[in-house]
Amino acid sequence: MTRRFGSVLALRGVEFLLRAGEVHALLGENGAGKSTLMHIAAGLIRPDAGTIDVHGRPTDLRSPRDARRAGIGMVHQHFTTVQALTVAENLALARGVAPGEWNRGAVLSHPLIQRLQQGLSPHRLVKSLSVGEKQRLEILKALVGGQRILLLDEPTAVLAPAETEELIAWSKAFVAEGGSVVFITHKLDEARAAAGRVTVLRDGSVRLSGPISDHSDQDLAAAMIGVQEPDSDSVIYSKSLSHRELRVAFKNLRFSGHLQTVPRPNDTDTAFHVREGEIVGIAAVEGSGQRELMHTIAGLIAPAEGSGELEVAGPVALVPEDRTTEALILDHSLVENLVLASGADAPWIRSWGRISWDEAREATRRLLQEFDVRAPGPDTPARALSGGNQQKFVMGRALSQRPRVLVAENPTRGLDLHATTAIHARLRLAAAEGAAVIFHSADLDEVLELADRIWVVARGRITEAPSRDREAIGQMMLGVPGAWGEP
Amino acid sequence: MNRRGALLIQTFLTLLLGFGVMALGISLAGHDAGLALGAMFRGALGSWFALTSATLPRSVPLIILGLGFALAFRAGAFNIGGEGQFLAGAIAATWVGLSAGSLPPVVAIPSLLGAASVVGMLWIAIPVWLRARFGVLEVISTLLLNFVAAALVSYVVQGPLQEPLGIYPQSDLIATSARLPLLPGTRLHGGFLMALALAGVGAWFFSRTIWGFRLRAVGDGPRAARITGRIKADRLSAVALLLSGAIAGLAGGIEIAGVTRALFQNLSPGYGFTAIAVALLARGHPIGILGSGLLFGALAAGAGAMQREAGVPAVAVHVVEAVVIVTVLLADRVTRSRRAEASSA
Amino acid sequence: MPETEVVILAGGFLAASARAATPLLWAALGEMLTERSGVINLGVEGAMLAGALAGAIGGMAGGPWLGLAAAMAVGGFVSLLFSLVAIVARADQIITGTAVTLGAIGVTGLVARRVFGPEGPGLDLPRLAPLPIPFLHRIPILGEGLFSQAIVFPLGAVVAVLLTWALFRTRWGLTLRAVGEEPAAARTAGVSVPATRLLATVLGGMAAGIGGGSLVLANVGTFTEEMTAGRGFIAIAIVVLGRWHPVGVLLAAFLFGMASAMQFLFQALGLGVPYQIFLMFPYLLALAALAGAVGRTRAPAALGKA
Repeated sequence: MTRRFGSVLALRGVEFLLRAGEVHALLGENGAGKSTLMHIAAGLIRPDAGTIDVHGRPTDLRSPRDARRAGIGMVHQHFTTVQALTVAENLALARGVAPGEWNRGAVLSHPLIQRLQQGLSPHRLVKSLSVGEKQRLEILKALVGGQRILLLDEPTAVLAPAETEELIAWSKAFVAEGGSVVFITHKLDEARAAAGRVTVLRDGSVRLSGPISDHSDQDLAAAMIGVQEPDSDSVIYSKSLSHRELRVAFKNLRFSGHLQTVPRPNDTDTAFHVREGEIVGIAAVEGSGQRELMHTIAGLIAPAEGSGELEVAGPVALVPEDRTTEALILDHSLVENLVLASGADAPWIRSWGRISWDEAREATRRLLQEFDVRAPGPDTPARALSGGNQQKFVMGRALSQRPRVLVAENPTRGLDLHATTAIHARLRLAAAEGAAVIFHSADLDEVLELADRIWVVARGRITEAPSRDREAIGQMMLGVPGAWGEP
Repeated sequence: MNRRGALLIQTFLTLLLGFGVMALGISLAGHDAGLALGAMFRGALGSWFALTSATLPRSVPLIILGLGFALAFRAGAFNIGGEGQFLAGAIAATWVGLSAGSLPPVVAIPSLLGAASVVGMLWIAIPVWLRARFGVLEVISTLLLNFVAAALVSYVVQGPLQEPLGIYPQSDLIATSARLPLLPGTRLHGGFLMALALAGVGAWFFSRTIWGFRLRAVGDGPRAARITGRIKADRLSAVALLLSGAIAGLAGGIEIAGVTRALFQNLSPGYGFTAIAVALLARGHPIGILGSGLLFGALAAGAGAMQREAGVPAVAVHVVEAVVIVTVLLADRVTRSRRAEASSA
Repeated sequence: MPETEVVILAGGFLAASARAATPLLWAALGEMLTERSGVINLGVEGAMLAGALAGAIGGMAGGPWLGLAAAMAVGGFVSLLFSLVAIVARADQIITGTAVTLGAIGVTGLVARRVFGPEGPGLDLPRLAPLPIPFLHRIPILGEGLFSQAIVFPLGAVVAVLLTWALFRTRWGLTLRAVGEEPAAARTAGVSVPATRLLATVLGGMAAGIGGGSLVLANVGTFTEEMTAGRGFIAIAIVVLGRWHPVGVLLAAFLFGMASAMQFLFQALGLGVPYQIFLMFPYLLALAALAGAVGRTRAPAALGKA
């Protein structure tokens, strides 16, 4: 089985070959062209030049329907199920049939497909499914028409470690029966665990291709980012902080949706605190309550009545989750975006609520310079900046308020390695200069890399991780009762 | 070419298109388009009298209602009930004006206008409350209340506020002391100065104050305003809607005190809807609203003349308004997608 | 009051309710279809008004059936104009809808003056005859009230049932709902979002046109400027009250028909309440319905978003 792509705008002369019976890892940084390549294979985008062969035959994939008919199913990075419809209706939609015919044919009774269906009763609404269940529904949708080629675009980004393992095990079973899987990721260990062969993309070109066991991690990393990966062990995190000033402290905190603080084993003190100079990382799978916790600390949500006390020695600055809708107004200029985040005590606010735009403009100019934001000037609309520069601006804006507490939600989501490194450096610098930093990343490895201490939030409960053991934290993120040290 | 120049040219072309479509419609409907447009021009700008007594008085409610619509619009809320608030304000103004005979003008006029504003605000308070309490879209609720207000006017001019003889469905003339002063020899009243002042204050408010800035932030990026700006977006847009209603009510009061001096059915020939076109053509900018309000005032004045002289129904100008709104929407879509392309390149 | 009189009055009231409900039912069914695809069309008022005028002209030229066909076509055309701006060019739906309604008021004013002259068409338009449903029309009260109406009323009820089947049992309905809920997800399933919405909006406009046409051809028998008087906006409230479900819309439309018919009932009873109170009643009921219904139901998730 061969599929070839010629030169494409975001891809330059890429050749990609997927064999029957293999899991093929596709590695690359953000923007390397992985998704573009897969979108072409899924019929969502058409290549400007080049050909696609499926089962050895040249095939024209003009729409997702064509791709499905050719036996290709795709699972996107973002869920594409319709929340308000049922499992059965979503499957019918994917097959392009009437709702009553969602289970027509023998596909769904195949043992491997049945394995995906556990707990997914057809009449459940998708919005009631857990993240892991939604992911399985996505795979079902991709295969429900009898497709044997499965494209998984960063399928593990939203999954906890145990769910990731199950997905990898399932993929191996699927290819053992003659299917093929493309597994897109930027995590080397996952690629190694799942795949037999690997292709690495960088800047729209293939940098490496072949059996994964032939290449060391260093080789793969070099192919992905062009330089040797910096040795992350060189940073030392152990700090003695007990004499430092307490910045955030809470106990028995509750808010709408409730958050319970859970004592560590052998620990009577259930209070949580963050001191100046500390970086606390929050490990959690999506929608566990971490967002509410951070917004409560940032003062955006009031704790529920009758809940325990929360003490925050402000000012608090927040770097919100979504850069383009929560942190910035894209159609507004940078200076307006600076004024947006400023309180009534900002130097450019005068009596009667008048704004001195000249002064705000000057402050914006300083910010752009100090935080290395590449932008023509303060009157540039935020939309005109690249994602990395937008985030640097957001980070700089937060830090220029000289916060005593910095709260950051997924501060590097969607950024390339270069910008990620810059943001990490800024977070460390902020802590070094005395701020208490609380951040969450959906990427557990990023939490482990940056944080002095780790909190785990799962199903509205929070506890401090007793160790830095990746496996144990992963279990806790899933809310496995034993992992929480409870009966 | 700079952006402002481009915008002016675009505005001019938009209007040209609007008139073009109307002229086409008029000739298709079997009228003489040249005669109709000529009558329209004479009726609007053909003489000092036409200007000061037809065009300017009609532009006053349009400017003020347009400012009211823009206030909510820029905060991301739609007040399509300007017509209803205008009528509610007019009822209140008539009631005060009828009973203000013994008061000197310095008391009578402010009380009349104050009552109109307050009642306009109360009229929109219903949709604001329905939105806050039940999540009812203000677009539909404000619209529905227009019809209720029209029925209410119809009721009061045949009931409690009917002229003493009880023959005509209209109120008595309001007290002289409650009437706005006129420019001698014309029908141009003091409300025009108020419209100018209101536009000036509005311009300053949006561009120079933190409150105006926050309103715009809520309209342009509601999530960012709430999370990054820590703005209580719902509360702020509720305040914007209430003020929008008060301004529309004020326009109703000014119409009674400055132009009609009495309340009757069909007091407003759709001013509330025309004002939407006025505000949109100016993209919600107060100084621009001044210009577009004058323009549509001329249009309304001309429409009357067109109906009298060429027999073309005055509602035909709604066609111009519709074309103007749609053209502005489309032009904004084009510039926005161009901007998005430029930034993604 | 003697018993027979009560029966006559009740039958008459139901009949008046059904008559008043018919234009609302058609417009609301159309708007429901449109909203299910994620589009809110405030131009439904304009489509109704244009449909009413087309119904009057068509009825004058070739009888009520031609009038109804013309009303349907013109309603669809008005919504097509809306669709081109709001769906194809993706301009703001609320403002586009307002503009379309405004434009329809202007154009119908011009055309009506041209066709009928300044006096209007008078009351002599041919009307759809009542269509007694076999057997059912003999049921006391209900027979006179519901089963002896002009064809547009029972047809509307049938369309409501058909739409229920189409929305929940067919591939087209599934696609339509998916587009209204999560267009991005529908797109990855290979569905064309704009095409689906355009079709739903044009079909909705055709239904609104029939609604306007039936106002002329089944109820009033004449055309007057701005005669729809906000019925299109009430239809939007009916959609909410009917919870975006065809049968719910049918019941809600009838409720509004009853609200309008109150006027006749109270006049018949000779109560001295000013008629303007009854004029307000449907609009106030719409407001109350919106307030009562909104919290307990959920609009299509993508409604109104480009």
